[in-house]
Amino acid sequence: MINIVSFLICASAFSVNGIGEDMSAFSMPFDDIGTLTRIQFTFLPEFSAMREHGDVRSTFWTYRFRFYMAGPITQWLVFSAGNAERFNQSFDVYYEQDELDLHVEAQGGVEEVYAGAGLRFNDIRLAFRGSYLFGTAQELWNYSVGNYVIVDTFMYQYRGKVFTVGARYRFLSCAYEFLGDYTAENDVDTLIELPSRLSVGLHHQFLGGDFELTTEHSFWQDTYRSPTRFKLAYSRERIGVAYLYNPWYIDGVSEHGLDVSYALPIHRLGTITFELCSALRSRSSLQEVKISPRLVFTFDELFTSRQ
Amino acid sequence: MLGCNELPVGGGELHSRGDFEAEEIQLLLDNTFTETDVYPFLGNSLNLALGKERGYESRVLVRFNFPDTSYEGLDEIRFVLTRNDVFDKDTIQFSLHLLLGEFQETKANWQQRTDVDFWMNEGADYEADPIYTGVIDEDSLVVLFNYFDLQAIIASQGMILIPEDSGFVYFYSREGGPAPQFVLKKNDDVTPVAIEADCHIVTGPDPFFIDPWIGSGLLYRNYVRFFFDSLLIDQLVIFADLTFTVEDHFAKRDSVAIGVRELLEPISDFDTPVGPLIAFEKVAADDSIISIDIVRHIQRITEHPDSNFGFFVLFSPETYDIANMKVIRGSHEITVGYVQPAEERY
Repeated sequence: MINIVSFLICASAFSVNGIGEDMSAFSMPFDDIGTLTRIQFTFLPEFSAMREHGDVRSTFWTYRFRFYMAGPITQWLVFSAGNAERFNQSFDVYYEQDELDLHVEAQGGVEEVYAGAGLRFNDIRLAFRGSYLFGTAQELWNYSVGNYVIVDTFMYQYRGKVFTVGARYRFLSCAYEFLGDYTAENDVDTLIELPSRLSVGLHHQFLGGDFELTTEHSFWQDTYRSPTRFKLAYSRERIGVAYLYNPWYIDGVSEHGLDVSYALPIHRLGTITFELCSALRSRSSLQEVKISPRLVFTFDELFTSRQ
Repeated sequence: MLGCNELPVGGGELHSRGDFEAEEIQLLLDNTFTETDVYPFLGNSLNLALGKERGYESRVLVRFNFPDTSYEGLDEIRFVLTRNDVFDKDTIQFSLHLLLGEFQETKANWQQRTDVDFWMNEGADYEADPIYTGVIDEDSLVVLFNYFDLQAIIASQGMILIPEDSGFVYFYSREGGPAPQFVLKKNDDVTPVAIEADCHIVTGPDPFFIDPWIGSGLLYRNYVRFFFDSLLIDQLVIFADLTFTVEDHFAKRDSVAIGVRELLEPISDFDTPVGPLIAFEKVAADDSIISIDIVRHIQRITEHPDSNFGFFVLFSPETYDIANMKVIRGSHEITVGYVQPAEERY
């Protein structure tokens, strides 16, 4: 049973470090809805396999689901709300050193609930989003030497906030995330200041489809490196494909991702989007492949529509 | 599942949280000696020990609650003690005497018969002439009395069984199993008589206090204290093996259980307050080297170095039987295994 549980809670081994895996890369505060109310459920199971020096170990982890809703209040004002995972701190790693066998299981991280507002004036769109950060994480460090075992436990509780503003004009959009911090409560409270983040996006019609280039830079103070990421996406009709270059804020960890998606319209209801997200992360000899088949249910005009 | 295993793939990532060097150190012995209680109260023991050997002598006291009725015309009057087969099957001679003084089960010992009264003679006051003598061999003890014996027993303060030669036998006490009983048989009616009190009283060797002894029956607690090594502060103690060498032992069963209790304050005497058992190890009675995991003690003094008051090594339970181990002074060693713990994420 314990093996099954640990099998279900694993994520990136790299999230041992820093404040975990940043799950918020390439997220923009804009609500791309028209005149209809939208409710969206996203299920994100995740598989990963690690490889090092010829050894392979697979893990499985599933993030429960992500919720998003947005609705037009007037012709020019949209409200939205939702939740997301901000930093994932789950991992399941074994380690051997001399006589010591170490097994570390961790679960949890920093979650986010947000509320936002969007303004539309002809070709100009403005967005604001405020997020409340919360969550818990638990780490179980199992040390064993011979037949002796001792377990050390760390528990963290999180409370924090972060804000984002954005503006879009025709093909150009930009967003800025700021005032982000959270308090990690353990024996003592530690304030973690999150980096501000500048995102710039370009949108262009190309070969009958939509082409998007998004780049963003996180401004860490001294603790971690400040990575610059970019994402290239192209979608046409129902099919989309994207490449992501996502170096982590943790020194030496790089990530290349490839997403493909297929949107299936549901008559008078919305769409079901099938996404297959994959990524290759690496640092020195350790490679980690992540595969996340996502299912996005989007319902439009479920409650009301406004002109 | 592909590679669903426990390979240390990615374990190197943990190095951001610590070095995890596993180390061993030996602590330096500060002091060891023996605290003794040579007049223990053994009324709650699970066994009744009868015998003498190696300087010990143990006598059994019993008293029955005879109903106020007529005992004429009985076909059989039987006194039964059931032997505990866990122990060696020594054969010994014994004598059964009537007691001259009333005893309290939980307050009687070699010196005292109640919490306030002492025996006139150490080892209990009893009639010089036995009402029965016999031999106990491998079976349980069954003594048949006549009507006149029974009347004398009813009128007395109880009975005492006294060993007459070397060896030990163990009977179940009323707390431990089939209780001692009188069985009165008349025609086809069998009337058991309930026991009111049973215990054994013991005398034995009183070791010189600097000799480390462990003992039950007569209680020897081996006090041991090691110097705390400040190297352990902020380390994660995984194991701590206490070992010592046994020079000589006395026990009438194959194995004994050794426990460790921490002192809650500096040692003063046998009754220095102690905590609960923090270690328990069943070992062969004739083992010459004993090893016990006392990691909980080392973990505690690592956290609270100021409360390193030492610990008692003792038999557990201390009243179960009569046994001892004589430990070689200076043979106590503690090997502590520790690792540097992981750093917290923040």
